[in-house]
Amino acid sequence: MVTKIEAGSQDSQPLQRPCKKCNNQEATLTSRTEPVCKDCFTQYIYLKCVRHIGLLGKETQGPYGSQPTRRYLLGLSLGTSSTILLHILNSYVEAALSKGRKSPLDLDIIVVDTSVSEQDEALQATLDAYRQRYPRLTFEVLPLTSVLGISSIDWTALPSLKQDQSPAQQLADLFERLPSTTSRADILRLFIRHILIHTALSRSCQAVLLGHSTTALAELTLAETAKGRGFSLPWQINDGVLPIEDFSPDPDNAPADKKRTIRVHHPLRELFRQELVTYTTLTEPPLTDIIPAEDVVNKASPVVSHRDLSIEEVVLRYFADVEVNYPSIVANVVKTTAKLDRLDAEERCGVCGMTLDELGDERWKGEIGDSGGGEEGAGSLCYGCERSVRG
Amino acid sequence: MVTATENAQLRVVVEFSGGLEMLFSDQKRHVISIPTTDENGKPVTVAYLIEYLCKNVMKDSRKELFVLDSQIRPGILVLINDADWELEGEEKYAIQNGDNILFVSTLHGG
Amino acid sequence: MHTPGRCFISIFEDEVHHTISSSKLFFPGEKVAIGASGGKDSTVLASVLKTLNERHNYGLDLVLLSIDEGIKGYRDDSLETVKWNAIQYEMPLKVVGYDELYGWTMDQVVETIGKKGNCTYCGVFRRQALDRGAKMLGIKHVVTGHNADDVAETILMNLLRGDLARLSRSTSIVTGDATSDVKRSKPLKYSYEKEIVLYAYHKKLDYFSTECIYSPEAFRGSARSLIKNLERVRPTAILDIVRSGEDMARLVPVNTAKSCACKGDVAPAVVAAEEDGLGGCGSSNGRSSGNEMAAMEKQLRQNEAAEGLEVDVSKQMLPQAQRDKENVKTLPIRGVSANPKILGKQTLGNCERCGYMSSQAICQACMLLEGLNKNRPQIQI
Repeated sequence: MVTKIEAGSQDSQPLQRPCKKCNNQEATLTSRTEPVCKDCFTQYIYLKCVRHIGLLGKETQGPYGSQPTRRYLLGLSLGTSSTILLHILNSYVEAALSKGRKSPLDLDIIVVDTSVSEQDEALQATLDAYRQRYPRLTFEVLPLTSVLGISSIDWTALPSLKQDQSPAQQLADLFERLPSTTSRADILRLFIRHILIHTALSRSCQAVLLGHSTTALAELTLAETAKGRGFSLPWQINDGVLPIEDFSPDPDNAPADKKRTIRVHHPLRELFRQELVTYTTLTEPPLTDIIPAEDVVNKASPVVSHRDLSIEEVVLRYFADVEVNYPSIVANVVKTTAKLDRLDAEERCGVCGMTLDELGDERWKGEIGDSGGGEEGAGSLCYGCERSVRG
Repeated sequence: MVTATENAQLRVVVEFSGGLEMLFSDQKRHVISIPTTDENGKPVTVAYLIEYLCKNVMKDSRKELFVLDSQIRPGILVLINDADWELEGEEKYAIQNGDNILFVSTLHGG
Repeated sequence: MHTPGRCFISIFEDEVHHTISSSKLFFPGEKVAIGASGGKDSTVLASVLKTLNERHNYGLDLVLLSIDEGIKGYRDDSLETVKWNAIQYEMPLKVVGYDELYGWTMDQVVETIGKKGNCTYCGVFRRQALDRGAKMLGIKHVVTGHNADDVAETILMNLLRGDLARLSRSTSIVTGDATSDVKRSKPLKYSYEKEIVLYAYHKKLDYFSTECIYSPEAFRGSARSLIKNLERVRPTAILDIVRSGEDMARLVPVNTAKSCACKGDVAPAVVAAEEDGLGGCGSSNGRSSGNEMAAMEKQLRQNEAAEGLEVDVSKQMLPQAQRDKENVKTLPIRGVSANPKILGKQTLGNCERCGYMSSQAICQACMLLEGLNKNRPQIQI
């Protein structure tokens, strides 16, 4: 009698549902409509991310193939995606080290603490867990107040800060004077971004790495569209070099070349949020052990009533639904945006740092009859930031 | 002998337009009486009225065309005495006797 | 928007007047046909245009143009509304029926192909019907009641579809130009749907407001519901989306070397059935439905598979889509157009069958009719 030999092993049970990729193990998961085993799945995620790191490395390569140490800043929000990015980067570094090579990259890991109050125990406990898991890495916490005085923001364009208050109070007051929940969420996001970029520039990092998944980028696309920032989408969504404006009022302190640049990349951009969530359960030990609950991180937006949502939250819920049934559409949104041209301009917006669209502004005012225009001496803002700051 | 408790009532004119009347026996104008206070003793609000309409006046089973996630469906305008309800506090507005509340759907082509 | 009656009416009218004058939509003496469905948008449009025409001396010759799709019970009633409007606004009315244009009423189409994809037919037929009707009257300018919500929804849908070419066209207030036979404009482009409803209410205008009986009642998951949810959070989001769309249109790369859109970089991942993305069901005015999302998803997955095999995507799409009677329509492989005129990103010629202006050798209506006519003897009860 001839024994039928199943792929993979001679004497174990035939696979009920073999992994499509390796054919060696049972498929316990479905990845992009294919049944796969746990190892192939985690491998897939790992490789997708590392491929982007490799591409970034090539673009920041020195002349004649010299290997300057790649120094990157990782924005760690302590959420699923950025934690995974951290994990994978760590594995990437470990893999090189274990082969006797030197570390391929230096990481500045920054957590921005968005609470405007003082010491936060839950946050400290979380960071301790991360430090224990990744002893080789250094984690730094920067308070949100470190945004004050950053020169890539035109502070004259925002509600003026009360000089006699503590930095935390100044910020709290500024947020209170913004017109809506959406405005607050919007400005908060921009502040965090500014802090990361500013820090990266001051430490000569070559790039800022953010953990956005395909889903997150699609959400950002739609949210920014809904806020009137269509013009800046290619700058925000795509990976690449960003010029950073300097608005410091003091000409003596202005840096030698006024236009500094930094790269901003999203290595997880080809992965769906759901895939990333699954991944967190599959690492050993699982990442779910250290990723904190939502409210440890998200202090700037307390529990809100149904009505008090921000545009970001509306879009988030929309895509959570769409991702389940129509994932290709989610990916397509990001791909479509990638095709748009990046138009540069002389001037940049004082709050979001994106290019100003003067032609568009003129035309819009003409057709709508918008009286617009802020106070004398107020900085120039793009349409979207005007909306956020002035309503 | 049991004395019936006298509940003061509010007289409210409720109007439906833009196709919404379809859910309410195709009748555009309804004059209804609702109690002045709800079961908690608080003055009745538009929120109360909306629930009342769903329970007692709606004749169509497709409640979701009027109310979604216990809120008025997005796309339905509400006017209180000809003014946008946003000015009056939306569902928190306390209904007065003789008020005219209009629900008009914006969700149809044309 | 927060002002009662009288005040609201005049503010609304002033805003529309501003849009019309700054976009230079009209010239004195121009004959303009108002696409009139009896619904709120076209009723308000007719009323406002009449008012502004007189108040500001536009010098326009206004005509109501209505399309009869031939849906018993539905169109009869809305046509009554239009006839009444014609009397109210003292405007001539021309009614053009699908049967006289195409030889098919929608009732007959649905009998033949069922209720799947019928909205596509209606949309394509309707769009052409308006243009043809205008031509019959010797009119070169059609205005439609599309409002800011409609435009915003189209923008989002085109973003989801990946259709950059359509995105750039859907944001302009006027489509078509001197080389095209009939141009279309949307004077209410910057008016919120909410304002239009309120205008009709305060001015006590009558309009017809029942959903087309054949259109699927799909609201959740559609771009429309997203827009309404965004509006609830920030009412200006609708106009902000329109602004984003207009700006993004300028960022669409121009492909001058390639004349055929289905080979160029700006080729949409999914081609919608309608020429200008504002079609779909004749009554729903281009609103999206849950069906569209499913169809788009399917198309995108096929594209991905096709790309993997490095096969010419347009060829790959063809057999699939022909079997697909959903809302997604594939353009056939291009033949040589009779009169190629480069217009932005697509070449415009004339349909070989009927002479209607089209970017294909055979226009969409003729394509659909071909399919219908073949099925005629096979009508199933």
